[in-house]
Parts: sequence; C-alpha cells; structure tokens
Amino acid sequence: MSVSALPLSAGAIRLDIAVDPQTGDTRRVTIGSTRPTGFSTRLFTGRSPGDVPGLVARMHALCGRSHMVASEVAIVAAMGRDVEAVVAERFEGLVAERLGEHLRSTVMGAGPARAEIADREVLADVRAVLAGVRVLTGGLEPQRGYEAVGSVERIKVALLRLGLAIDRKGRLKTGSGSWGERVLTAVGAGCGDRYETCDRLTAEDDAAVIAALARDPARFAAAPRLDGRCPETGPAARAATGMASADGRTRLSARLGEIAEAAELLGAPEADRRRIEGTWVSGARVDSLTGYAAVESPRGRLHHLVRLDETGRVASYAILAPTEWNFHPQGPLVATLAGNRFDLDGEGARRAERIAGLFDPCVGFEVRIEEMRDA
Amino acid sequence: MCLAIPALVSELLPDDMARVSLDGVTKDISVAMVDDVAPGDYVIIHVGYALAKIDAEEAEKTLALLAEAGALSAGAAE
Repeated sequence: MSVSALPLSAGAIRLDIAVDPQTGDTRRVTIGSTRPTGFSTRLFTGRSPGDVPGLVARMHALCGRSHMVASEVAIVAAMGRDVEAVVAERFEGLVAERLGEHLRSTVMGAGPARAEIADREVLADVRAVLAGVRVLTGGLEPQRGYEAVGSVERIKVALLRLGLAIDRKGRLKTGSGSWGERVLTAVGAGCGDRYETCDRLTAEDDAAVIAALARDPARFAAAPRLDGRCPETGPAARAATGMASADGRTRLSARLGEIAEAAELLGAPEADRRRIEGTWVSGARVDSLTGYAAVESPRGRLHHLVRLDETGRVASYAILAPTEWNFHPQGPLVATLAGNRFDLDGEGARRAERIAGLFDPCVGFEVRIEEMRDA
Repeated sequence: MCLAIPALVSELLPDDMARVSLDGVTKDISVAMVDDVAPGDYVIIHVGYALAKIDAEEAEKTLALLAEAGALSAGAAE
C-alpha cells in the first residue's frame, strides 16, 4: 500500500439501534467497526525489540505513552529483566497522559460537553493543560528540569480554573459554576440516561486475558470475552464508586476525578508515586521467550504480549486495547444502550452519542437509530 | 486503537477551524485545542480535531510506518 492511499481516518465504530416505534424501547443494538486491528504482528515481527516501543508510540495518536510503556515492559519481561525499573522511569509520563487524554476527550466528547467548546476561557485553559502534558509526554525520554516543573505548575493552575480538584479524602471537588460542574450537570440525572452496572476488568483477570490472547491473538484482540464475561474497563471501573449510580454524572465524575488525582501525582514525592506504580503497570514473563504487560491506560486496561525468537528478535506481537472490552458486541456499552429508550428523532441519536461518549472509545463512532421492522 | 494520522494544514478557517489535506484528500477540522497552528504545519488528527503539531520529518516517518503496517487500508479491519 502506498502512502498516497491513506485516508484521513483510522476507521470508526458504528452503532445501529433498532427501536420499537410504539414504545421507543430498544429491541436490538449492533456494533460494527472499520477500525484496523491485528496489524501489530505484521508490523513488528522480525524487528529488533529495542525498536518496537518507539514505533508503537509513534503509531498511536491517543495513549501513545501507555502503549510505549506497555511495549517496553512486555519486552523487558520477555527478556527476564527488571520490570519495576522501567515503570519507575516512565510513571510521570503515564500520569500526565491520563490527565491530558481525559480532559481532551471530555471537551471533544459528544453531547453537552461539546457545547462548552464555544467558551473561549475554557479553551484557553484546556490548551494550557494540553501544552503542559505534551512537554511531560513528548519524546522518548522522560522530561525533567525547569521546563517540566513549570509545565506541572501551569497544568495545576489551569485545572483549578476549570474547577477540577480533589479534597483531602481524594474525592472530586468541582468549583461552583465551573466548567467541571457544568459538564457534570449536563450528563446528570436530568438527561434520563440510565447506565448499567457491569463486571469490572481487573489485574486478577490478567492471567486469563494473556492466555486467551496467546491462543488466538487476532480474534481475541478484536472481541475479548472471559468465560462468558464481558467486563468494563476505564475510569468508572477503576473507581470504587464509578458505577455506583445509574446516571452519567457518577461516571463522568470518575473520569474528572482521575484528572484531579493525576495533577496531584505530578510532582508528588517519589515515595508516594512508588506506592501506586504497581497498580498502574504490571508485567511478567510468561515463558523463557514471552512477556506481557498490563497498563491502566486512560481508557482502561491495555495489554501487550510479545514473543521473541531464539535470535532475540520479535516473533509475534499482540495488542489488546481497552475499547475492545467496552465496545464488545455483548459488552457494557451495548448492555447500557439496551436499557435505554431512544426517540426516532434527533434527540434519540443525541442520547446514544452522549452515552457512548461516556464510554470514551479511542476511535470515532457514528449512531444510527431506526424502527424495528418486525416489532 | 486510534492511529496517529498526520495531515498538512493548507488553510486556516474561522472559528478555530482549519482545512487539512493528505495527498489530495481534504477535510475541515477543529484546531481549537492546539496553539498557533498555521498553514504549512503538520498536525495529528483524530475525529475531526487536531491533537498536536508535529514537524514534517516526523509526519513522513509516521506516514511511512502506517503504510508499512497497511493499517489504514480499506481491508485492514479483521
């Protein structure tokens, strides 16, 4: 394929919702996708493992730092070397990336949050945060020194203006009338959207995930499922209270809370960070030539699995992205959509977009709502 | 997973929008979240937004990598 054949899109997810025309009840939800999967093995096989993390970071527009760390950890684990040293070296970049990705996706997100884009002051603060994040995550080497310290301070000041902070107990505290409070209100109970409480993907699942990914990388990475379970991953699943309520405010609070928590972590004493690094990143050797990594990336648990050959080059490589769990055809998004009612006018589509936006896919999506013909 | 697609900014438009192109394919996108975008810059785009500016050399390397992966071809979805 030539460069000239590249389109200006990396594929998309399509949600088709069939509703009963009399009641508006959802009868069927189907998910289709044109996003590329399975290219990692064909791209990385035969390469020197030292080349792969940089290539992985370059390829991913979102969560490039998480992918890079996952790649480094999986490779180091496959070589039987110390994983913790890599994690400690890269942790601040992961924290900054989580903060930036969450903020950006909330501003870009479908539904009421998009209306906030018109607010010039909000946008200036968002740009200030993202510029700081780029300093902390840019390049392949950790950023230190005056520029990094200054970036952390600018990020914290801008986040306070956006109304995002945490209290002493680690709970999200949004300022009255702030942007943070406005976007939470916009997805709250007044919308009438209802979210299902789902099973959560956790570190305890890693062994089963890696075994399934090793058995059938292409199929499992495209539609992961564990013994009939379709768990959710991401900020709502990570937060103890993230799925405690059926309305969107609780879910978005989990995401915004992670922004404020990440800001606290930036520049925090090393001992504080070391205590939690293992909850963000883990990895281990599977056998003498195989290693994996699991990274709590912004959108959820990200797995990389690498096998080396006898000469030390990459023999196979698999990536399982968090969006594949949340947008599984029988997964948490579909379960939530099935529990809502959608009008056939534009309001129904807006509701579906608002709900899907809170599951925060890493690719674009489109929604189509139609009458169930045999309803 | 979202791939990094670089495109060249050909024109700035009102309301923080810009026209970008890649080998003859053009699209209007928002540049509201990136400072100081100008015609001639390369930007990474995602669902209609510019995410970051990158230099021309980085853009070429990324495009070559995507082409090598075949990641954006019509038949890439598995």
